[in-house]
Amino acid sequence: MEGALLPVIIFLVVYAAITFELVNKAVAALLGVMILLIVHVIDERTAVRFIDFETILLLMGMMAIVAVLRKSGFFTILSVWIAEKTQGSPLKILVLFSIVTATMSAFLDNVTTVLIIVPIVIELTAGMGLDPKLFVISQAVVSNLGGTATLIGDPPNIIIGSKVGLTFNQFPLYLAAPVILSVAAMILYFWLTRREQFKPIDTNLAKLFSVQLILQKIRFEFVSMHVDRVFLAKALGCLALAISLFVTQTITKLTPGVVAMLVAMILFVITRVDVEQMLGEIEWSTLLFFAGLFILVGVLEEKGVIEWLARNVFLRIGDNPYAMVLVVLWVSGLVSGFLDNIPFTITMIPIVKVMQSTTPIPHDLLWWALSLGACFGGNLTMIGASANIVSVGMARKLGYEITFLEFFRSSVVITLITLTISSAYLVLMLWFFL
Amino acid sequence: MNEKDRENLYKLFRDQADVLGSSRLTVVALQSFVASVKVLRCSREEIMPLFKELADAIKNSQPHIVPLIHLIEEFEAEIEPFTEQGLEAIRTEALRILEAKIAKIEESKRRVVEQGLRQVESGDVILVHAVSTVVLKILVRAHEELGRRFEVIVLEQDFNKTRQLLQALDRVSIPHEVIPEYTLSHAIRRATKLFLGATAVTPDGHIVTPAGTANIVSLCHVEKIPVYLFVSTLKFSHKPSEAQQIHRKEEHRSREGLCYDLTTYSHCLVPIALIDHVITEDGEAKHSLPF
Repeated sequence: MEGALLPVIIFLVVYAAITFELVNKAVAALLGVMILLIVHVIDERTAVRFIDFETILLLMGMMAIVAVLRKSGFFTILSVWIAEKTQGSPLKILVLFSIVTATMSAFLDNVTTVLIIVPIVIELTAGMGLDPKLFVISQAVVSNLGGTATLIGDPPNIIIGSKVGLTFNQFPLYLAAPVILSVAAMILYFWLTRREQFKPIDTNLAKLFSVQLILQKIRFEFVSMHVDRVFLAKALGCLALAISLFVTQTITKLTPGVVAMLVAMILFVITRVDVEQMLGEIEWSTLLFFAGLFILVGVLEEKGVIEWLARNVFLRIGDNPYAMVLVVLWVSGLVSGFLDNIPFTITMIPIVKVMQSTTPIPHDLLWWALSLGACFGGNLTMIGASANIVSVGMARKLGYEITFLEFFRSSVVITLITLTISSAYLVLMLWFFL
Repeated sequence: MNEKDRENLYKLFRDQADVLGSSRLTVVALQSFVASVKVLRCSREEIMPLFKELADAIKNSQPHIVPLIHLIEEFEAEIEPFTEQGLEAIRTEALRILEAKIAKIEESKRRVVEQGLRQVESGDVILVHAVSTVVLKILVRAHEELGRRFEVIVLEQDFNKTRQLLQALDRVSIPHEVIPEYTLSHAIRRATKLFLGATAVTPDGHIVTPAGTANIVSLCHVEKIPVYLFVSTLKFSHKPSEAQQIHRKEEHRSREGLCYDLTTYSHCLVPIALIDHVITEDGEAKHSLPF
């Protein structure tokens, strides 16, 4: 590990700066890279080689697709339709919105999903005299759960898929079952522990009246909204094209990054949107953050730090596949609750690679353990995932303050339940395949 | 109904009134009442107290939605004889009465619009401030059906409040210009009329209008621009202006190192003496008003 001390120090400082939000995440990562370049730990060519452009391309393409979809009004149509279907039943609000949020998060980014769903959930529940906090927390949690089911649903999956070469279809094939079980468990947990919140309101005329007024308001806002049907059809057509190309990836040999970027460019051309405006909606700082982190972890890998960590920390547990899978799952889950799961996943990938090469485990179960841990673990605390922070922020803006402890009281139990479900699922898979 | 539920309901009323106007809100509230009665699960003994609870809440709204209150009072009086009947009979009667109330306010609005059409002339430059479905219908029908050629100056509040008005003017291609309400002094000399709706007309000579209207009416009065108020007689309240329960909100603000308490009111009180023409279902009413 010659010459590893400086990269390790820089990496830890960057990690601390990201965790405690001392500076912008992208600035922290790129400043770390710049220092490594200035002191000649690496040169520019090597730095660029470490960047996983497949991940960057996929993220950029999906962000562009989501920006156009948002402009089409599709999300508003969907949320109004769901609001109508709930007819003010608190249980239906929880179940239907959870299903929609989980499904949307599987194909779009979680932050976009909660930005659309949370305001309407708050409006419905607050108008009924319910406490919206429980519903806000549930939607943040379920967006993180739903995003775990596909390659494009959550950044850790995008990184794992791209770096490891897993296909789009493999993700739902292996992860849909624990995700569906976890969503069901979350709904059941909230229903069992907060029964008073889910009492039907059809015996209370005043509450029924308030709900009908809210639905009228939502309908009116929807009618006032200008929806360009041709634009909407083009946007949905392109989303369908992207998903079908993801699904047929093994036949077309097109990587998800190429598919996402191709479809985004087709959308830009056929919808004649203001491209500058759409490009402005791409989160460039997130992409730069990814690029910086890839370089920082690449340097650690090159200096042998990752291999040292894998052999001296993770491989200490021995070569028992059950223990290895469970350690990756629970370590990822617990760490992701407190640290950003993106840098954590980028750091863990080379470690898991070493573990996989030392003790091959069938059916990529180590990778699924990492994915389930990193994504589900984000639910542990309010700061564990971007969707949590955004949901809590929106609730605050609308007058409902959710404290760190309030979030934690619900989320810690749910995270433990979902990680236990994942453990049982992975153990069962190992038992079956070994 | 607890205090929190009442507050939520009144806030909903205010939000809806801002974007729909009080006449349309009355229709929407009655439709919501109908939809709620249809799905309500209760016993025969419970249904009348439930009606009373909701009616009391509506009658105490902040501010008073006067046409809705009148119609709810009529509903209470008309449902009373059916108290001793079975649950389904009471439900059926309640729905019939509520549907009749919806028809009544719609008819009243239609008649005000008919009267209002006579006040629009080609060449007019009409100032419009807050959303009023009656004023909107007058403008659209005068342009589309009567072929009057006039211009509208929209005094912009926030986008949600002005959106409906702009969409309607755009849809039927009525020429219009949008200016912030606080810059009216620059455009007022071009204006020939100001058209208004109101939430209530009080017996002590005031009208309850959306916030900001009093300043506009005052400037129009000084500049001798005729002010037209279009109201259904259902908006004539029995209660004086101080009993209209205009919502008062106090909040603490902190901005750029300055901290202060800000007090806002949901609606304005405008002296009716500043209104030149009050148009009701029966035509010009200024001289027959009860004050």
